[in-house]
Amino acid sequence: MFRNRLIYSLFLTLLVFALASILPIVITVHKDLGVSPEGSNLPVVRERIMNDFITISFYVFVLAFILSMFLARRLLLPVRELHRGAMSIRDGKLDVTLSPSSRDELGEVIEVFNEMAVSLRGKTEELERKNKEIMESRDFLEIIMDSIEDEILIIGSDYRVVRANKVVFEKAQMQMETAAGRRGSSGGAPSVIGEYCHMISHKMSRPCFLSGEECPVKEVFATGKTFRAIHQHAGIDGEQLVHEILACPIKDTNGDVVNVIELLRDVTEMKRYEAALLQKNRELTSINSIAAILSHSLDTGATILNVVKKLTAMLDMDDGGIFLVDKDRKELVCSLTGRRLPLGGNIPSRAVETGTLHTIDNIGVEGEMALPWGPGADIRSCCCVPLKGREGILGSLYLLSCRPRVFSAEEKRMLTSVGDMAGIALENTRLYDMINALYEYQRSRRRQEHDSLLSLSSRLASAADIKGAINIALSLIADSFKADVAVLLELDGNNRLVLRSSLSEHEDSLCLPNSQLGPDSLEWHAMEKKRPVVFPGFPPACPRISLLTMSESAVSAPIHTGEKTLGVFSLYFNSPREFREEDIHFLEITSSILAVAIERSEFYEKMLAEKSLAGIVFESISDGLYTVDTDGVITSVNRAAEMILGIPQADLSGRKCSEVIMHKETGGDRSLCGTGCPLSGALSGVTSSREVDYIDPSGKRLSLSVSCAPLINADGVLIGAVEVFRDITKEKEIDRMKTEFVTTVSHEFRTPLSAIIGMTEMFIEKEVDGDRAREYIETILNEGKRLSGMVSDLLDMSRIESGEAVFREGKVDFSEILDDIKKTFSDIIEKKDIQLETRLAEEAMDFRGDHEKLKQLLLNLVGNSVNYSDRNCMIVVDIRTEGQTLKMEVADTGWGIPGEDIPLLTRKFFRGKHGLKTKGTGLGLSLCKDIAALHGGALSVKSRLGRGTVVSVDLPHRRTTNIEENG
Amino acid sequence: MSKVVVIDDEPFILMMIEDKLKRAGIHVIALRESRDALSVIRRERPDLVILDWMMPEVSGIDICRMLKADDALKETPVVLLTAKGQDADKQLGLQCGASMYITKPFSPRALLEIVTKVIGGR
Repeated sequence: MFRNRLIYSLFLTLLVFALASILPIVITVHKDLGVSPEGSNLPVVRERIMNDFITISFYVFVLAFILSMFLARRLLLPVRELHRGAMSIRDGKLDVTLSPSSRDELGEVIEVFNEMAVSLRGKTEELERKNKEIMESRDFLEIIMDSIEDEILIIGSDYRVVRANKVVFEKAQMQMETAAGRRGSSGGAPSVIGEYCHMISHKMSRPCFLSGEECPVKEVFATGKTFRAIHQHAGIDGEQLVHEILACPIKDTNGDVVNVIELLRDVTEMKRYEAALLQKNRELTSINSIAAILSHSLDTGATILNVVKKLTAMLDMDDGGIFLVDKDRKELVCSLTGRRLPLGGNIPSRAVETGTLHTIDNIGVEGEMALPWGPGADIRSCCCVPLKGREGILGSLYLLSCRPRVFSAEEKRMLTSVGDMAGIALENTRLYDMINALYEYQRSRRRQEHDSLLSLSSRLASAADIKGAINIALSLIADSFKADVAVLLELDGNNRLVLRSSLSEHEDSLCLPNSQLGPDSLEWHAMEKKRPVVFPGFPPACPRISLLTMSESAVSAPIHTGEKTLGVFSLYFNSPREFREEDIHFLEITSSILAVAIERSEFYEKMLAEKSLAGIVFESISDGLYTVDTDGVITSVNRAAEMILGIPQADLSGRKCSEVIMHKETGGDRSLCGTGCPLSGALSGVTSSREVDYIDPSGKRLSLSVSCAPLINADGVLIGAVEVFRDITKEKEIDRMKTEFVTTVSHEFRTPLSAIIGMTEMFIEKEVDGDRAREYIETILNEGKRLSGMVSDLLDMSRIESGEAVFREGKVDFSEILDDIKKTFSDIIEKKDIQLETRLAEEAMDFRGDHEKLKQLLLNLVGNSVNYSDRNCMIVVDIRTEGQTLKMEVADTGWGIPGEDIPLLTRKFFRGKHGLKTKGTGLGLSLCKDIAALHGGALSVKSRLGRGTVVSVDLPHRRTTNIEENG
Repeated sequence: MSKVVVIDDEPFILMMIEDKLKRAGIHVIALRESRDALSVIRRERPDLVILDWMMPEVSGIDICRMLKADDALKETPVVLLTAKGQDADKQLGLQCGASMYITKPFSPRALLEIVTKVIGGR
């Protein structure tokens, strides 16, 4: 802009100049050329131009100069304005505002200048304000510094004091005044500022770090960090002061330390207090540690040694020890060395006598005292502390040092305390030892008594006979009291004392005239008083010892249970003996045990007699008997029970009856203690009886009649139950046979009887005649015979079973028997189309036996096959030998027998499944079995229902010999 | 003329009853084989059946039960004539439908009286 204006001005000036130069020339030319248009007057014109041009040029120049001046002035106006403003600012007149005269760059400069001036004015004001604030804060800091009671110094990098607070000045003033006072001259104002810091703080001419101390100022300048230290400085009066110094850096804006501010606090008093506290603490710690030693151990020697060691170490002494007072000998005894000192005249004795602490700080200086340690010890200082107990002074503790040593008040206090403590501890230890000894004595005595009583009780408990028990008891009591003679006298029915048992090394010396055991004897007194009586002592009137006149002392204790006196026992001693309270007490206990034992033994003997009778009865009765406790565990079992149950007594005793004995009742197995068990009923207090089936371990089936009753002791408490049982198998069998006889046999008898009775009745009523009558009579006869046969069968069987049967041994002709069989059954065989096959081996021909009975046997077997079969059945009778056995087998293809019936087939009157629709007595097979048994053989049956049956009879083969046949 | 069927495996019993009843004018059909009993009774339609209990093939009590189960025959009275003399047997016999229960040994005269009474009562 400014350039444009300049160019424009110059152009304008040039234009004016040009116009002013050219215009006159043009005007001149035009005028001249117009006057003479035909002729040229050019030279005139040129001349005129030349003439006029100079004038015109001059004017033009003047005009141009004026114009230039005008334009130049306008251009310079803003510059002048700026100059004026700058001058004003230089003169400090910041309140200047320039008016912009143009809108060009200069105008802008003026505006900027104005803004600058305003800004400068603002900054200046701010600076002034800050300055004012700084000034104010500086004053405040000064006030603070002055108000602080500690010395504050601000130190420059040259270690000179830059500033200091009032306290520093005051102290310096005081110091100067003091110094001046000393010198007698008056002091002026103290110089602090500009002095070296050590001069002010240490009052020293050289810096503290040169004397090895850490200089806080130096440290802070070096590290730039706060530093804390404790220094000792000399006070005004030369006293030592302790200062706690805190030095902090004062940093400039670059973070460089420019000054150090140092605060000195006088902590002399505090340090002194701390030191005192520390000292106190040390004292307490020492006392505590000694107290701990004293309370830690009950061993006097070890305790003393430890205390002495501790004190020696604490007080930096060289040696020490303890003298204990021996009152009896009026001496002091060193507990460590055993050395003895006479009581009096020496320091330890003085401590004991006066009860105060005695110290010697420097033996050489303080003069020779009566030292018990001798000249060779080279002792320079010592102390003796009395050991004070509750009941006097027990001794004195001494500490020795080879150097002179001053005992401080604190040390003396501590030593006195230790002395008191040690005294009490020593006393306690002695008391403990005494109590311990007493306790040990009591314990050993108790143990001895306990052992004696235990041994007495156990021996009495194990001894069955009274005499044995009493002898054992007497010997134990005599041993326990070390008595020379022990006797036991029993009160008999006539109220006289009778010697029951005696224990003496000299049995012969025992004289026992009854007259001596009169009412004034020791024994009678003991019985009357119902407590042990001692001689000599009680009764005063008792003139003599009852039994042994040469005895020096004796004691007699009554044996009684409640009001009942059983007797008395006495101990005699050949030497005087003192009886203490515990001895009497022990005797009382012993006599009580003895009384119980005697009574128990008597009772036991009586019981034993009763028990043996009960045992005999128990074992003798034929009924089985066992008892159980409340848990059902068998407690006793007799021999009969063992026999009946088939279980050894040992297996029954101590086991639960439900585990070992199972009763099979009708309707299934039931344990003895199950539902309906008679024993469980008895265990709930109910007496009951019943019949039960029992299968013994061998599988034998028994019927038992069982009775159970609760066992109730004398106190009415249920203690178990007893079960008594009887084997009623035979009775049951007879019962069954009776019933079966009635039902089966009577039934079988009824049919033939029908013929006999009915037909006879018809005869009588004449309702039959002729051939019919004969037929009737034959029938009556046959049925009569059948009846008779049945009776014979029954009788035969009865005979065989009762052993009355006659065994008619002879040759058995089996071929004849087989023929008879064929004849007997020919009718029915034919009728039922039965195929009967008989086989007879050669070897069987010479068999010896009862021909008739074997025939009956085979007839019965074949008869069964015929009766229990349908038409077209096949029957095979096979008689052969197998080794030494004759085998007779009857096999059929009949109905067969149900499995459950097979074991019962040989039971008398048993009919089984087929009995319902066939006739028979149920005696046939039973008789067969008996006949086989008569021959020493056995009968067995194999059968399958619907298939058939094989009955085998095995007999030992008895051959016919020639001699027999001939004979 | 009344008709009675008698079944017993003992021939002399049959003979005795037959003789006694015939003399009283009763037509008697005697049977030893119990297995034929039911068919004979069906055919003959007797006024009374006299049954032995214990017979080898079919027991008298079974025949009685079968008769009582047959609608056509159940009205036919049955007299059980048996050697089983127990009270329990007698009860069982009557339960099975027998009108009378006679135990052996018996009086032929008493039997006739019973037969007459039973037949007369129909």
